Amino acid sequence: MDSLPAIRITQLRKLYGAKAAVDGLNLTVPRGCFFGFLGPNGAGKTTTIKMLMGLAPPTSGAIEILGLPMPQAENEIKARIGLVPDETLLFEQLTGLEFLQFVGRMYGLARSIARERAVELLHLFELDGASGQLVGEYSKGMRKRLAMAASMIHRPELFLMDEPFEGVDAVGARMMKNLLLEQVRRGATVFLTSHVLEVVERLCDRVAIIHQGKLIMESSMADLRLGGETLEDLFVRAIGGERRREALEWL
Amino acid sequence: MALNLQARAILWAQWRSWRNVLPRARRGSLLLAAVGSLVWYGLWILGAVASVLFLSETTDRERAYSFLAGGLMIALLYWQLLPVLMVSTGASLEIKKLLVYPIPHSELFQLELLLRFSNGLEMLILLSGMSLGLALSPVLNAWLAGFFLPFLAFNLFLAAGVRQTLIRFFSQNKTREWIVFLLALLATVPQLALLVERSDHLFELWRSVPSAVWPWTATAHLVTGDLVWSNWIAMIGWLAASYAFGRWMFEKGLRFDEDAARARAEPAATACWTDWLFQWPHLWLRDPLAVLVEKELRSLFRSPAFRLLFLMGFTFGVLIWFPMRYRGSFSPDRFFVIVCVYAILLLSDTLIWNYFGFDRGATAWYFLAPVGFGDVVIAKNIAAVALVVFELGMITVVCFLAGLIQSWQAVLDGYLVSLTILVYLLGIGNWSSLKYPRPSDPNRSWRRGNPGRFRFLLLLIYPLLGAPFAFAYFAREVWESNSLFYAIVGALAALGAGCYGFFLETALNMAREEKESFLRELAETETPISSLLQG
Repeated sequence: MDSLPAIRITQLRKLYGAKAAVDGLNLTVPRGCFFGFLGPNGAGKTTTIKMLMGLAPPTSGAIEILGLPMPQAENEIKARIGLVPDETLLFEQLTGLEFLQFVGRMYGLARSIARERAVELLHLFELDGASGQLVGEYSKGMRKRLAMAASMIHRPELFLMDEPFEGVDAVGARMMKNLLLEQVRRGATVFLTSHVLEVVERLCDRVAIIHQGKLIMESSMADLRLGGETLEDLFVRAIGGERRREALEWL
Repeated sequence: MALNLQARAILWAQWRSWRNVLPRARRGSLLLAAVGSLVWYGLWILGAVASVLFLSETTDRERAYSFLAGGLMIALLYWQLLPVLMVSTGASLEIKKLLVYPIPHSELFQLELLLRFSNGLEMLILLSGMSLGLALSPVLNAWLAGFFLPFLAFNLFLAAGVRQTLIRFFSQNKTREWIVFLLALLATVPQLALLVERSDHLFELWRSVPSAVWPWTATAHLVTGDLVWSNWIAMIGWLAASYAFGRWMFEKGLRFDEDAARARAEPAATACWTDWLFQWPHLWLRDPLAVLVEKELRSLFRSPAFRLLFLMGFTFGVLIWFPMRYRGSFSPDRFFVIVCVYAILLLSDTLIWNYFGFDRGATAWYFLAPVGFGDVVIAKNIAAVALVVFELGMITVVCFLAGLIQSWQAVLDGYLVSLTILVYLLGIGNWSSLKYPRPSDPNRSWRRGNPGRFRFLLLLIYPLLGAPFAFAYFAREVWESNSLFYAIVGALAALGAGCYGFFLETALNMAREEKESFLRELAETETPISSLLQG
């Protein structure tokens, strides 16, 4: 089973009305890989992540996670993945400590263990000073750190992360990156979207670029480096961003 | 994974969410909440005690039946109204948020029912009182209270279905506005129904429906020992139908894709023929004032909260005051001005008292842009005046079409008085918007922007402002002099202009001196009620 890829997406399609948010996506993410899923705003990254999380049903296509078909084995998959979704899935009326305990118990941890891990995670993510504060009062960076802490509480095999470093300060981001690298070293897989290309370039083994719902490039970072281009150059070239400069001469 | 572990975690988190509201509230709010809860639950406990006393004493089965049928109907209406209020105010649970956790699909419905159950504490108090009353009754048996269980289940299934239906409807702003608007109009129905001469016939029609048909009457029959087959069938039928409805709507709600629905409902933004409505400021004003007023008008008309209140001003406002005019509670020529002033009060939250709360994203920008803050405030006031005049125009049209205009002089008076009151309100509003800023969500149709402290002040402001205008009408009647009326209103307008100038100056000073705390207040997230576990 472990030889199967962490994620296998085949001809995935998601329509919103007449518009295809994701259009015939094929992607394979090997196990133990740090995978960067890139794209400009509105490219279909979040929609793809939502389909992987089981929050949005695909219009067509197939998803296999950790060798299990989605949505047929949805619960088994969910028990083995850690999610850093967008902020709307946090429970604002709970304190940070209560939220982590709640998540731990939802993943089947005993109450005492959930509490113990929650306290340790809050300390690890430098949120122990805010453990009694309501999540609704957290800053954006604190919310992201809390979401990442929650994703780790049940020691998952696969992390699905939507913009995990958004709004996080440099120290916090460094700590989060190191933690994720440790998770990959122990054999977990990380699948993340990010707009910060330097972060992706430094962390990821493989990257894929999606634009207007279609996969336009997939490669290992090693192959990219052989070409001598930075990820940013490649990204801008791939989505055709260079042309946009031409019109505004007055600028 | 055992459901009970997850269910316990959800109930625990729900309890914590409720509890967390209290210790963090300000002392005044805490006291108010405590008194409010005491009164609220005290009333339900009183109802339960009354049930015990009545049922334990009455020896008349028929009276016991009528009492129980009435009580159960109230229980049902309350239990079904609760999800409507929860969803319409945004304080609603989204079971979809739990989908990221490994909960078996088949058990999600049970969780939903569990949460509906935990929302119905008031009903449990009432049903407990009724059950105890049955146990102590000289003519009824304690075991008959068991028939409350199917009634309880019926309510839970129905509430789950109603709630999911509403969430789907409310996920689209336009639909949500219409539903909230219709609910508001419903509030006028009882008053209007009393005016209809044939309301007796409606009551007769209601009484002619067999008493076993309704879920509350069927339950009351069974509970009072009337175990005939028709009551059994009615109860089982309601139970089965509510389960089918609740389950069906719940499953549909889980499959419901909000983004997809929104994409279908919202066409791409294009230039619209109504665009000229927003561009008129450029005819009379120069930039930056013109563009600021245009921005205000566009933002407000795109805000569901404002649109709803604007619509209510010339519909609900007319309907709610109509019965009093009909019954002669006040002189018919006062009707127009009362409706106009009421409409201004409806709009005051969005246009006057806390206008930066609805515009908080742009507020920091106002301090950064090379625009005087005075221009921003004046632009907001100009937009408010324009919208109030538009509202008054709509009220005039509606009243004219409905034949409710007594004389055109009453209309003129209505305009004069309303606009003079508006000058005062705008002045005080400039001060309150800076003194008590509070973030508000322009997309939530039924959320108010006033901070609690300011609500107390409003209780003083409205009567104090209304008194001199009431005096103007009084003076006209006593001395039969229109000139006197216009002189008083004119004097009040002059005083209002002075008041406006004073408050504007105070507000601008405040903007300079208390900029930091003002922006900090607005940057806070809106009261975090709309979290998952508030349902």
